[in-house]
Amino acid sequence: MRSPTRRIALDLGALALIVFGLPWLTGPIGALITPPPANTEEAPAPTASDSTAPDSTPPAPDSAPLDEAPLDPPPGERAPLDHGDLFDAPPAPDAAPAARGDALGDDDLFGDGDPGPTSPDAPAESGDPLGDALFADPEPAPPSAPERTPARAQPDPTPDHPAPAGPDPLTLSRATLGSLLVGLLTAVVATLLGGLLGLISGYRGGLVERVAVRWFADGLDALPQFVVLVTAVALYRDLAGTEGDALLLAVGVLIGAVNSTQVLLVVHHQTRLIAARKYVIAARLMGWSALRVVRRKIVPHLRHELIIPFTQLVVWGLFVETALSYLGFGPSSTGSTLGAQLHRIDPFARPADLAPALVMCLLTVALAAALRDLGDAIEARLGEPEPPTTDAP
Amino acid sequence: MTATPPTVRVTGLSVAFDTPAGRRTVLDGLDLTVRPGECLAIVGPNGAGKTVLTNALLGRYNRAPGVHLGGHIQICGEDLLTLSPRALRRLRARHLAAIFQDFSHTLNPIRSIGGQLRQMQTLAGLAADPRTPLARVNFPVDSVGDRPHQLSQGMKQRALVALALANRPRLVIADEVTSALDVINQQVVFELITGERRQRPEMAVVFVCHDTRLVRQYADRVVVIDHGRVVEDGDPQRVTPAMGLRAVAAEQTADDDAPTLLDARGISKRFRAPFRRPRLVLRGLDLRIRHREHTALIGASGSGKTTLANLVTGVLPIDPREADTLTFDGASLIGLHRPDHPLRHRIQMVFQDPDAAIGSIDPRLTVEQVILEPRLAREPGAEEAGRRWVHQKLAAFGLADLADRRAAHLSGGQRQRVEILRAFHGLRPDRPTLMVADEPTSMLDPAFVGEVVDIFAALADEYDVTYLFITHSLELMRALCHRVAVMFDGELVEQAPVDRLTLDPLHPYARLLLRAGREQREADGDPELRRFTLPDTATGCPARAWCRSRTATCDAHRPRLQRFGDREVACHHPPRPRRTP
Repeated sequence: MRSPTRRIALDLGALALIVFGLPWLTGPIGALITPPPANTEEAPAPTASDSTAPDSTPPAPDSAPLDEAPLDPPPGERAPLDHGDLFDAPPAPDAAPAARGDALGDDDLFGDGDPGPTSPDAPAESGDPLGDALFADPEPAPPSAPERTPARAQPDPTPDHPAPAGPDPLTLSRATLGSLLVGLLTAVVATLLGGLLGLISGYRGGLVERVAVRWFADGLDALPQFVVLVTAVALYRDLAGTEGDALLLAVGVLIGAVNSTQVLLVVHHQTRLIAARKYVIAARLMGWSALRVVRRKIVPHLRHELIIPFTQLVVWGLFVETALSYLGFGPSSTGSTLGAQLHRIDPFARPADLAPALVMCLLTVALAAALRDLGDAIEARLGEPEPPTTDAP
Repeated sequence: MTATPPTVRVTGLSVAFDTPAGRRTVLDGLDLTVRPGECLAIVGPNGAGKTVLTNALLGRYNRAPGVHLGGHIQICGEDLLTLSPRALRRLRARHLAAIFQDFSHTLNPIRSIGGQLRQMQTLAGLAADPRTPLARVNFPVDSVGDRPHQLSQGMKQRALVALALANRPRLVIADEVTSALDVINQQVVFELITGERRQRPEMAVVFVCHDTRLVRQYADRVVVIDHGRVVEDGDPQRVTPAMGLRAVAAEQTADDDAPTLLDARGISKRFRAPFRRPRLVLRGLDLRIRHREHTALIGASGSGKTTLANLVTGVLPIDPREADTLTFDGASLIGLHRPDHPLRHRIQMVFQDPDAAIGSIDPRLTVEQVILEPRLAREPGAEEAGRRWVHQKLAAFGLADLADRRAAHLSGGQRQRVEILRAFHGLRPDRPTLMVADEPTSMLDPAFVGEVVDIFAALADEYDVTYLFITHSLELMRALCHRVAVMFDGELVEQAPVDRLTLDPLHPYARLLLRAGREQREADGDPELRRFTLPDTATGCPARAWCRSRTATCDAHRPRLQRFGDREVACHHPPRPRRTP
């Protein structure tokens, strides 16, 4: 693990695995964390068991099939594989076999070689109070779930996306990428905007400094970020009349703008420090213009100071967007980000419904690690040279 | 051997650090003994491991990550390297004292001096009595309750020494404490430590120092370290005395009717900061430099020398209301901080260069690029000619094989020479120019000072340049300058030809400075030196706190510069100048 290139490669590999692989695994993982039914040794389909409310009738195992029922009447192919509904009907035909295969393979892992015949019976036998307590309202859940979920599903009622109950791997994967995009957009916008203002205010000082730092940064920081964002997104949506994916970019830019103050303050402070260094003063005495001094003598020494804020901003952008979308203030309608997926699923009936959240957590960790290593490598390449070998550390 | 065990016994000490480039051994089997009451000087070239040794003696590498220790250190009978953190703290509190290089940040700004002393004494298990240690360093007893910001520079220094000695240490470790101080303040620190040693003869002192004069004067024994080992151990008197720089300026003495190059009259500078009283750093100073008359600007730390240099070179903007006259070769210097000022390429500055990362050499560029840059700024497109100049100069000054290195891979002396070339390449060769050099030698090993002086002398022959040296080094002043201006408390207090001032200083501060630069002292130390402090009020003579010939006039009026033949002095009672030989 000495070479930074290898470490970054590993990080990025892990990240790719999470973005593209994890969605396929959430079902089995969800199954894993769910306690098996109390009275069956064979634990046929654990995911189905917990989502079944104690008072639900045996033929209605689970909210998802209920939702599906009106839209997708012939369940013949799906019927034997009950937990297949974790992954729902895949939108692309070629994804279907993969999902099925995965589910089947994992099912074998749970000790049940032949899930087909056992699973329909399983719900009837299982009644798991713990699972209920965790994942469903004991009293109103079973009756209300079928009513609520179709309401959520309304934006997407095509037969290809028959039910929004559990996100299928591809949707989840796409949503992960959407979230990642918003995070990166946030970081880029914040870094550019904050960096520019920070450079100007740090180098010029005086009135510009007061306006940028005192009024813009301190002023914006004094307002509750979330309220500002909700207002801004709502305003933008109404004024521009955009919805869904188009809103995705706007939300990223807005989060970036609101969070640019962090970068601004860091850059401002660092610029002031670097501007006092002797080589910058020497460059001024050479007769360089301010723009040239900043571009050639300050920015190159500042770049590595931005790495940590940048990584934090990616993650923060992701978080804020998820929260916004979950509450319905983002590109919630198309489900193009993780938060939007959560928004669609909202009454979390089964552990697998939390898959987007799980992806979100792991994505955050992996992203932070990957970006930090990347930053280290960048820093090693273009940061300050190592201290002189003649001096003691 | 006597029965008393040594205060420090280091056997086979090795220290290695993990660096990105692999393990680097700094100390390699070093042996050292310090007996009680001994004053040991550690000298050696840059990078020899002196600072690492002092850090190891203080236990700063114990359990430090990435540091590999070997051998033994016995201090006051304890095996330092194996002590538990708790025992180490105890040892430090009771028996060790460290005086650090960075004087200004060592005092706790939110506690009174007395409180800090009391804390030290309590930790050391002594009765809390802040007055005794303060009295020993001539600290006024009624300032015991003051916090550091209320004290003048000299008082802070005293408080620091008192603080270091408050736990009645058996070992004092001082790492380069004086290299950032002017001659007088260096002497003050050592006088204070010596005073304490007289009181407690068992106290041992270990100090790292570049200055051979201080080593000869204060050390009982000197140890030379190189490549992590002791290479010499002996009598300080055998250390080569302060280098004899050849007086390169002597032959080109400026004549009196040379035209005035820099004319500064009534220069003030006020620094304003929120919630503070504006600080008047320059108080209506007058300075005239004639063409080709190299001038040294000497003076106490904090007397405004660097501020003056920054105004003259355009680092700081000049407020026209704070300068009666400020011209260079007949043209006004106001607005020089803007990049397109017509005098831009006629006034340059050589920076003091203590640090590879934030010094005046851009750490990202190679030596060649660094020296080429100012030429391209002055003459865009002169790349070919500039490169030729760079390589010719690098070859001429023994730097030929460094063209592709970066600042981090240069020694201090090399860096300083590169810095001088860089500054010169920004000067126009065809017009009279001014080069301001801010302490160009203060951070260098004495061995490198000669090289730097040579390069200044050679370039002075080639360019039509006049130097203004800001320096603490009397040797540099004697070697390169014709005239000397002494600054004190934001004013010029004396101005004279170099040889006149060195023979016969008139102002009390100049007298003190010259006396401190000499090696011989009166047996009992120097009472004026021990009372020396920077003034804290604007009224009266700034030197009156320690001047021998203080009178009521000195308390009431600030003296102005008066002429005495070819020299000027600001004193109410100047001694009669000796006849010009």
